[in-house]
Amino acid sequence: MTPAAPPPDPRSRFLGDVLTFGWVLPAAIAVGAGLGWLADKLFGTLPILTIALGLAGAAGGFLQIYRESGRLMKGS
Amino acid sequence: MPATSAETWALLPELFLTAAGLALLVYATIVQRSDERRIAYLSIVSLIVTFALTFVASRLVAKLPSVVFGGMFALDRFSLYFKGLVLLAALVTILFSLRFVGSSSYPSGEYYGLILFTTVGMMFMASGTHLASIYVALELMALSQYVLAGYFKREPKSIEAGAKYFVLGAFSSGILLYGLSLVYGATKTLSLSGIAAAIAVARPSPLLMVGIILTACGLFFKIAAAPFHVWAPDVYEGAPTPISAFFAVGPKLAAYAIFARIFFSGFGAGSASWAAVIATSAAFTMVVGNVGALMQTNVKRMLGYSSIGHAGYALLGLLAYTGVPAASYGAVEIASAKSPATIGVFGLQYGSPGLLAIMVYLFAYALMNLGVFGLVILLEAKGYAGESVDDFNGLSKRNPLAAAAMLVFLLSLAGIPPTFGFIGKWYLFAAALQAGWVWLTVLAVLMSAVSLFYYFRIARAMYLVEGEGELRWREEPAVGWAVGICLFGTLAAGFYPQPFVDLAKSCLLR
Repeated sequence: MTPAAPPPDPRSRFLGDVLTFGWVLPAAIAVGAGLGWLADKLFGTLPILTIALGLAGAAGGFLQIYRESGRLMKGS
Repeated sequence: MPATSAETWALLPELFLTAAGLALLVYATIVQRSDERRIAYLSIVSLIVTFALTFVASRLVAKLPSVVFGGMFALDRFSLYFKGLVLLAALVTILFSLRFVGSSSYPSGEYYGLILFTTVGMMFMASGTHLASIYVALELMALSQYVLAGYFKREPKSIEAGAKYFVLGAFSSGILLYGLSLVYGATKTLSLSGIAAAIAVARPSPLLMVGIILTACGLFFKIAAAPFHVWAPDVYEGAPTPISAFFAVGPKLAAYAIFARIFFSGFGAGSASWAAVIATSAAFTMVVGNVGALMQTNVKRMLGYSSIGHAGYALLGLLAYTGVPAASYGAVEIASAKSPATIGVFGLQYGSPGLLAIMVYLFAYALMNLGVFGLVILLEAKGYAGESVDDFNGLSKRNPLAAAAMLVFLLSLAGIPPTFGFIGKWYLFAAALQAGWVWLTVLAVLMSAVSLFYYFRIARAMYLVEGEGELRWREEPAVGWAVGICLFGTLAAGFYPQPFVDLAKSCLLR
């Protein structure tokens, strides 16, 4: 029987959570704008869907950071 | 290109205010706690001198090129108009703060210095014509704001406001910087005139499109437009109330000035691409702001949501980029009376209805919003400045003058005549209608009707509900004077708007 894994260090967890902030926003924008661009190419609607999905990606990433930062602040 | 001495005169208001802010910070380290009020008085004097220097700079407009300091700094009446308004907002904020901060347990020395630095950032924003100078000005404003939001550092709400504002503000700056970098990559220039020239000759590329979207997103955060509005209610609720008043007005004025300059002057030729983004955000912002305000019982949060709704209305002006002939807005009379020129700021025909509407509306917005916050500060109940709607119960009997003033500001915010708020909305809605945005104008009118409900909750509390317990008033004449100025402006422009509109029109001339 293997011993139970030690609980994660709260500081490491906090650092990990904070570091994900840096990825959430560009990733959400890139995915949104990329999908929009592909859809625009498919339907011949450039740049409408690139703009719409890019904006949606930016908004989604921003809201995610807002929620996470609120959660982290309450935790600390 | 080295700046001439005449160009340096154009920059004198900003230079003076920066020096004053630094001097006050140094003075704050040596002054006794009991004498800190002197710092506030010196700040007021600094702002008045800066206003006078701004007037001096306005005399140079006709003598110097419209863009000075190697293309970094615009010297036009449009920027001077917004500088005047942000100076007024800063002055009123300091008047609000005299007792509020002075009677707190926090040192007020740095507080006033930070307000001055924020104001300098806003003034540079109003004159920014180069992506680098715009970004640096925006950060100068934002960094001071983060500290001010969390100034009451032993109160959890204030800490939360400061921390949230910092985290989200940093990310919005990142988004803006992404956008500006992509625009630079697509156009090979950082100057707005160069960007305009590049967009005019080439079909917008996907790179440029994404750059424009991200730039818009970064600016949406600054004006608290949906979906980047979530910080506003939290920050307004947690920040010291005078700072909430300042945030609701000053940074928005500067952000709209730079929004208009970037999108009208830089991205104007590509307006067909970005108009949909702004229209979508405007619609969401109006709905989210007004519906969100319906559900609030804390007045500062309600005003936070209300200011989100107002940001949505003002976006209508940005959509009316071009449209009707200049004559519809009286530009012909201005041209024949003062100047034969027909080209105003940003190379647009002056009379550009969108710009004029934004300028008139934001003047009204500044006066009525500062007035409402001033009355919230005047009202002292339960240890906090009149934050709950219930705190206004029976106000008409306890202080009829304050209740009447509050009613005027609420009517103005809702856009009911005869107030400045009505005039501002009239210009905005007319501009949007004439630019063909009928559905958005209908939505704006509907949302104005929704706003009546939550504004009148406060009016009902003041006039129709009996108050409970004793309600004390702070004996602070400075706040009374500041509210009086706002009240006079709101009513005067409501009954006789022509001088206010003419002032905005004249600032659309180069």
